[in-house]
Amino acid sequence: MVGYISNIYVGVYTVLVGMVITFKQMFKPRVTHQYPYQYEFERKDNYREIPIGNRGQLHNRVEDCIVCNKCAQICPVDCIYIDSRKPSGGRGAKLWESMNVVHLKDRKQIIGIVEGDTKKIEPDTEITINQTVPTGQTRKVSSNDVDRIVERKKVTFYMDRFDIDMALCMYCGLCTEVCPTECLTMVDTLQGIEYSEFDRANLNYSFVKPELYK
Amino acid sequence: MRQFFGIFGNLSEVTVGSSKPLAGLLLEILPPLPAFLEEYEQLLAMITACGIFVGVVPLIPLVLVLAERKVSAFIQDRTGPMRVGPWGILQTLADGVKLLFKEDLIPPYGDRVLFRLAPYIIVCFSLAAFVAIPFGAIDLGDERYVFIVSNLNIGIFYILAVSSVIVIGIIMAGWASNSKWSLLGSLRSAAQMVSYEIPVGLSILSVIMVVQTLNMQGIVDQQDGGLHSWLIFRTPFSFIAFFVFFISAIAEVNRTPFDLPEAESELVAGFHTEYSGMRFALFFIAEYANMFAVCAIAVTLFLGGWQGVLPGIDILGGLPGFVFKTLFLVFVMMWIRWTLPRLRVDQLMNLCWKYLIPVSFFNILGVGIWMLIFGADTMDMKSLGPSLVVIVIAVFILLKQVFKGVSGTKRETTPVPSS
Amino acid sequence: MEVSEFVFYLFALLTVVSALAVVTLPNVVHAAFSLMVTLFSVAGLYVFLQADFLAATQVIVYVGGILVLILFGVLMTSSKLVMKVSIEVSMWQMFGGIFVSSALLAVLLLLTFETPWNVLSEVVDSSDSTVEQIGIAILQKKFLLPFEVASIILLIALIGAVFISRAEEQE
Repeated sequence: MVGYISNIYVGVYTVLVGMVITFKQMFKPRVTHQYPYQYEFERKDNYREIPIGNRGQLHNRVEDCIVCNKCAQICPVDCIYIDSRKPSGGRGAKLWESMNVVHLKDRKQIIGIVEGDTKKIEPDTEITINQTVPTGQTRKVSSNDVDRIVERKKVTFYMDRFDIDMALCMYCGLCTEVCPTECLTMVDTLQGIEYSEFDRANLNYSFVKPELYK
Repeated sequence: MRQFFGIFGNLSEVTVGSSKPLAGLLLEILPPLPAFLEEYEQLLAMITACGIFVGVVPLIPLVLVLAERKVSAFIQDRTGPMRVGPWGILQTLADGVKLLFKEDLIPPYGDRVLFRLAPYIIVCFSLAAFVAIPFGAIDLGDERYVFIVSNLNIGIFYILAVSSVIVIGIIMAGWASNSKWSLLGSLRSAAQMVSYEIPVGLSILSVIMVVQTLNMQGIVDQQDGGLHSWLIFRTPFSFIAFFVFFISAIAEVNRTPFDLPEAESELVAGFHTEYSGMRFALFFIAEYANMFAVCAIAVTLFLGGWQGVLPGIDILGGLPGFVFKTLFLVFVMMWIRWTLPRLRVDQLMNLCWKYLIPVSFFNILGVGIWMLIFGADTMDMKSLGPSLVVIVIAVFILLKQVFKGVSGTKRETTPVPSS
Repeated sequence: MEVSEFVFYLFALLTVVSALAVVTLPNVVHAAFSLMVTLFSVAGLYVFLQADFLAATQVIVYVGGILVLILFGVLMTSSKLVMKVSIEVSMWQMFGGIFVSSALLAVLLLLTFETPWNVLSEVVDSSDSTVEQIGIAILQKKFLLPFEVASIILLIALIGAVFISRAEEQE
């Protein structure tokens, strides 16, 4: 009989303890992110960064592109469409000479010819880069920020069309591997993930900038 | 005519004390009818009063489903529905519209007639319980009108009778679906509801012994005069009876921790697995209407009905007070739902037959002995005083233990920091 | 026709039709569900007799209790729910049946016409609770002994049920 009553008592009081705990839980801050409206969660502790090298949306820096057509050839689903045209000067004519592309560590690329020896750069030296395309300005960059320098071949084609159909793309990343100037990349930030559209035609990205060839 | 409907609280006439039901109020405030309808004006007023409830009760799930989702979200540190309307308050409306336009599927080897009939039976008898619940009162002139469709003499007994028929609808739905999940769910549900009707009835009986009437408005009238006159505090045994009633009521509306009939992990959705579209919505309406009705009965029987908290001052009184108290009990039901895990079948029957039923028999005995010792008038200070002292001491001991328990578990509940 | 008469005949018709359906329907479950309609309309007839407590008891005991029991029995024991109701009997059986049923009808009719029914000349004031009268009649007046005997029989049945289920457990 004593066991019976104490059983009831323990039952009641443990349920009440549980209820007090859940009641306290009601006033704790929410952990839900209202994602498309709210981006603050990127700063929160429990948010995991998108890893570097994530295969996201494709992006082409047409200033670097030499229209070699390798990406369109290797694409397994044929989602890259490139049309090119030779310049009017006839055989051997080219749009510009070969130059070097300076890749900075913050993943911004700068096109241009580096003055001096391109193979080895001393740390803490200022490098002057002649940005020939499109404006021909010069800019100084600290060599600590430089990630690598890639040679850019001379351009012998006008680019009339460089379209990537992201609705077709299967994110294999082969095109970025074969790209000789490393101008075709996959965006590994949040912008490379969220590009949903209501119309499928809007997923056909065009990267041509006609103003480059004027 | 009057002979038949007279039994339902004599239409708009005075029944108990000086209060009139809702139909009387309608006759008073609505414009007079054309001459050829005057003969039936009382009947029409009655039907209109019923119509008000039939119109309002299906709106209850609209609020309660959202509340359920929000409470569950808050307990689990989530936000709940947020998209439809500000803070998602229109979510249930959107879901309801969606259900209205969904395809109405009937299982090919099921029983078509019974399959269609079952939701209507359940909804009808859930709504029927609302007929005898007094929702509030208004003084107009020197008359008092109570918001009750029909002030039945057997009020609470009628509600028990009507709510026991819901079981038939559930079995019908389960069998007509021709599905294992539905049949098992409905059989479980029926066993559970039939078992738990006993502690409900017995704990109501221990209240009826104190008030000595079955009339719902009569029960509310006896709780006039503030917090201390609520029936829950009249004797220590009615305090226990309230909790017995509430636990059994949770089981009778098939909610967690007693939601075995709808256990998702075992039975998909229980007796309404095969239902879709509007028929499913009807089950939903019935479920939440039941939940509201059960809480309203608990408020009427134990927590003073629509009477206020303080004598003379109209705090938490009338219709808003009644709805507030009822919604608070509904909130407690949701709170329990998101605190406790689901019971096993044997544990469920164990709780009912070995704990709740003996305890409620003990309550009946206790109330009888208490009224023998301290006098039948439980409102008298000679009886009320000892009762309040016993209740306060018991609650104090329990709460002390609870807070000790809460502080003991504090270390375990601190969240593990994410790596 | 008065509205109340119409309602009365509706209930009476429902009682008879659904009771016939209980006997004749081939599906046992359908028969059980039409039994619900029968019990309900009987409760409605009780309401006409100003016996509100009896009507509610009818619903709570027969519909909420016994019908659920019947449904449980039907659903859990038999795998064949649909069976043919055959009324083919021999001549002797038919004569015997006719004799027994007409005797029963005669007794019932005799009772119906001989019982001094309390006909109410006026509508009873419904504030007079029938519950109170029933309680006084059972516990203070003449029906105390039958009441106690009935409760002892139910207790014995309960103990018997517990004993049977326990004995099975021990095997």
